[in-house]
Amino acid sequence: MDSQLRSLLNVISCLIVLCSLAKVIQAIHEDQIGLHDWSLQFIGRPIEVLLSASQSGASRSLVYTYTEQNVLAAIDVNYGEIAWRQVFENNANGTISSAVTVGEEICVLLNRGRSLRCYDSLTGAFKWEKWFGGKSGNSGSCVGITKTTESPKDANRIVCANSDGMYAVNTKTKNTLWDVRSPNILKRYAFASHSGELVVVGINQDKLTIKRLSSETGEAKENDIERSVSIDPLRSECRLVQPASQVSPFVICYNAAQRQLLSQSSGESSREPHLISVHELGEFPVEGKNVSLQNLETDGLFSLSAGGVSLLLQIHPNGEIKLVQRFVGSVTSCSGTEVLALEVANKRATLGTAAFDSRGFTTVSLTSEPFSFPSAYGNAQRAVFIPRKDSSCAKPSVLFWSDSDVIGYFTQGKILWQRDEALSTIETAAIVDLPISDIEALVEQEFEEKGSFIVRFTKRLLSQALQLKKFAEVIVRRLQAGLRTGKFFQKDQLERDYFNTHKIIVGITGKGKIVGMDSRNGNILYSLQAENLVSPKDRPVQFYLQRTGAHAPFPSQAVIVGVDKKTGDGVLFFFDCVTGEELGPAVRMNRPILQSGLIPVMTNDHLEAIFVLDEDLNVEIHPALDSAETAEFLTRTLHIFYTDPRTGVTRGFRVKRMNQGWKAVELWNSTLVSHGESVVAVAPKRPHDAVHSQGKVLADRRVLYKYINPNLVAVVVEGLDDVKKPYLKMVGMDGITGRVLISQTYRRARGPCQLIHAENWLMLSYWNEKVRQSEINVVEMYRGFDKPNKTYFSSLESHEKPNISTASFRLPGFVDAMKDSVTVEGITYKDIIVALSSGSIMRIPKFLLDPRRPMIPTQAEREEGLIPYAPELPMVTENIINYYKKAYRIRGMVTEVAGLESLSLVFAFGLDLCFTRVTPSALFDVLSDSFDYWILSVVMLVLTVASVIVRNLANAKALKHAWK
Amino acid sequence: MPVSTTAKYSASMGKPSTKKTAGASEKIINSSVVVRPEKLFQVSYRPGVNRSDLPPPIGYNPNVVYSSESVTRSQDTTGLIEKRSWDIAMAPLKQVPMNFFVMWMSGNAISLFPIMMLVMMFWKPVQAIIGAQSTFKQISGKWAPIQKLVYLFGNVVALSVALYKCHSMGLLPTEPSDWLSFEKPLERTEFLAGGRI
Repeated sequence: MDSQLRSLLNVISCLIVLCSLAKVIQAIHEDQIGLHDWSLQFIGRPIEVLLSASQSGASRSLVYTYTEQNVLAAIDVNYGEIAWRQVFENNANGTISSAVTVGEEICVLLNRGRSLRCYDSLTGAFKWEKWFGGKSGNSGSCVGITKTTESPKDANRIVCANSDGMYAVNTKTKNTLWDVRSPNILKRYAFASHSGELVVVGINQDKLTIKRLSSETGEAKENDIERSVSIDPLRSECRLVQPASQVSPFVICYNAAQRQLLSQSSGESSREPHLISVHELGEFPVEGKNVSLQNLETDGLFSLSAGGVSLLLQIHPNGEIKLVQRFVGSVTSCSGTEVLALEVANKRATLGTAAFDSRGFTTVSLTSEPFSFPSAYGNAQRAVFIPRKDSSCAKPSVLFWSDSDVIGYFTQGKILWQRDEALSTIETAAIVDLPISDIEALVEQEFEEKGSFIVRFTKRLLSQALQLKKFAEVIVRRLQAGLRTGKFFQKDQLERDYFNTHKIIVGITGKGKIVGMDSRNGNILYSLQAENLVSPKDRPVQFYLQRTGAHAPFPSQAVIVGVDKKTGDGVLFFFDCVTGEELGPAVRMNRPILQSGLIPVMTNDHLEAIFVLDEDLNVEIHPALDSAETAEFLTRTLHIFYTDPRTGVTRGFRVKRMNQGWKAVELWNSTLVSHGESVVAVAPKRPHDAVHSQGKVLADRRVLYKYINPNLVAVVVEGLDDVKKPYLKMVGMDGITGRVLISQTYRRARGPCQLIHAENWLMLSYWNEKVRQSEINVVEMYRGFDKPNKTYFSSLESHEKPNISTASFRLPGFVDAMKDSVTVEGITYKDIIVALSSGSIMRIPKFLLDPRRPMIPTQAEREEGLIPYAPELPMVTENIINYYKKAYRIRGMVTEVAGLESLSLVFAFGLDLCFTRVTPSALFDVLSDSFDYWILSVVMLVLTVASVIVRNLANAKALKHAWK
Repeated sequence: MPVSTTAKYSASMGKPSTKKTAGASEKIINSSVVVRPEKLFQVSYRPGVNRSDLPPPIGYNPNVVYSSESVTRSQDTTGLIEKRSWDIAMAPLKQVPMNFFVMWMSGNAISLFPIMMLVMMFWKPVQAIIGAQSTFKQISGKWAPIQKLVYLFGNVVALSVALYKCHSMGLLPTEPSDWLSFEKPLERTEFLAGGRI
């Protein structure tokens, strides 16, 4: 009995130990998630907002939206958080043509109108998909019809119309109820009228067809109405509007090409369409994009809005369209008889309701106090009334979004939350150093070696006194803040930390919005708009950091180079990238610009200059460098090149002083493309590329010297060969002389390509058609075993050609973006950070991507540490640096050095943002996290005490022994 | 009274019961002072009797001096010193083959054991050279300068063997690869800026 009990106890204790171990193992990495990294998820700019058809039993109040970024998302209106989202393909197949909510489902029409996919509206779980098939049409539209009777025949159904026909799907059984095939229509719209019948509008070039069908059977109710009107199917928008309850609804189309509104009755086939030009109705922005036509479901009211201006229009039963009112803002319907208008003026917004009765449209009564609508929001683009228990037309809850892609929710008289979706459109980003703290700045001043001994000594004393004062100030400030907030150990904001890992991330969107983010948590520190500045065609805005925050009295200065929204001429916008203040007026050039870049010359106030090359080959330098010395230096050393992807011509220039300005003089040009080829990537070297080791040590202790040419430019060209198979060509040329140094061809390979150029290697990712997999090709350049006999590198004097070793590796995934990690001295190994389209960001150690990896390693190669070649790169889950927090559609990445040699900071931007740090050679220069200071100090203390005691004891013993 | 003398002798020698006498006798034995035996055996019973009148004990000849050993040493001492000096001088050289064997045994891998071996191989000759003065004191004779030179030479050989071991282990910075991290990157004389448009 006793032994049985004991064995049972043994088993239980074993189990307890095992369970505790399991917990320990689970927690190895999980506790570190979010310690040094963060990620933000976005949805993009909304196209349409849908309300749930039924939200009975839902604990959260969700609204649904689909966006320009091909995302379907549910947003919790109480908190502004994404409840769930579905990210579709980033091409025409993933574009959402239409979305409907029926019952508990939300369905989207994808694949250019060819497939319908449904998700659970509460959880976002995929439910079913229906493939309609057919040719690749343009797009389509769907309408959801909720069942009206309880009969088993009647069911919730979705009717979709695409360019091949009309289809009705039962949402419960997923069966097609009926389909009507009638191809040869470019674009179709499906609407359900109030009477329950289906109205399908088909648009062909110069032809409008209106069909009326029964939604149950798909039978045509009356003859089709066909009208020949001049309308562009791709640039038009149609809605069905009912002017009055007894009148058959009207089809209203906005034709963006002619800026006309067209109305056609869907019931009376005899009536001719009405056409009216928009400018006759009211002042309306010329912009063709983002025009939206909204049916307000009230007395034939509808709105046409673009660029922050809305025209509230009404259709009369006779088909005439009239302007009711023009708003700067947006209009939405809030009840059967009233409309709600969001008006914006002078950075403030007002919500007002307007009632419509028999006498006409009357009073616009204010329903809310004006609330702040910052200029950074831009114009109000759309407002959608959210019907909730606590909201009415008098006390509205409104979801709105603006020009600058801010989604906000206004309720109970205030903006409850806002989401800055512009962050999902960042095109250029940089990680910028923060200024050093005041005390550190004083310390830096203290050791400036200027003046005599006495001067320096007094300076030192003074500065130490100042440091003491500053320190006291900091303490007092912290105490005050602590008393106020209750937190005494809060670090001062915006100050460099000890290892310089706290930085500012500057992101610039294609629309010239500049956002500064805290690298610790992704909080937005500032957001400013460069007026009328947009990115040039086909390439992002350029960002240059002219002065860091380290030069104490001067602010840090950065410049962005873009183009004017209207004229397309170059614009330079200067700002302080730490505080987000605009520094002086933007410089507007009178010509389009070709190229810009930093010049390795610093002015007396620590400002690095930039040059701008315009189409007439004039070079402008900011700030102006007038000294003869600099002029001589620039003429001698500065070279400029550019590659025009349209023509495939690369031209190299040097600069020359002319009269008062500078001029670029062409030195060489070369056309790298032949017929049918196009330039897909150009990669010059990073300006400050730290390479610590000048060679590679082999097993026999010889040195294989690297070929490091700072002027090397890699150009990748894509083309089709004689048998219509794609190929890629990579050419490495010297940007000063135009000499071609290396050339590689990749058969049966096509883009999209990502190209990295660092140290002595080039890395190209592409799609291999033959093996149907992504590949990364590495080209390493070596100069041989001879030591360079000069201490400088000059392209004009160097005639050597690099020895090349190259290898390709297969990657299990599709590469969206690729970047190498950087460190201060370049001692640490490099990691290649690869953003995959699956949402993972993976780091691949460079030694895996080594072209010198041998097939069968010899003894010497093994000694050198080369691992045998294997074409597959392993997908190690520990190397996924964003864990399970997927970041989709990464457009680009920035890597930046930290104060520690072993650390490299990584910021990935795309639809989502992700910031983290990588340690390619592990944290070799700091003690590890697991290092136990407590144990160490306790052990030290115990040892010291023990040695003192033992010494005394030993003395006593020796004395005793002597007395014997 | 020879009988009583022996009795006294035995009494004084064979009395280990008390600690003090044992200690004293130990002292006597330990100290290499040549004790004349007559002193030990000198016993007087009667004050009137002259000690010298007594005949010496049996087997004792007071004319014989107890120094036969030293006499023999002084006879062939030069040959021995020379031999010993040569031994001292040749010791480091004799060690060399052994060193080679240990070297071969320990291999060229850089790990704890070979490194310890290497340190020992370095430490021994260095120690020997530092302590050469005291070693040289033991060397005398007509060959002394040459022997000293041989001794030094042996140590230098041992050192060079250790150096060779270092070299074969790759611990000596003799190749350009060892100076690679001190090489400065090449300065650029032209600056290039640009990209695609």
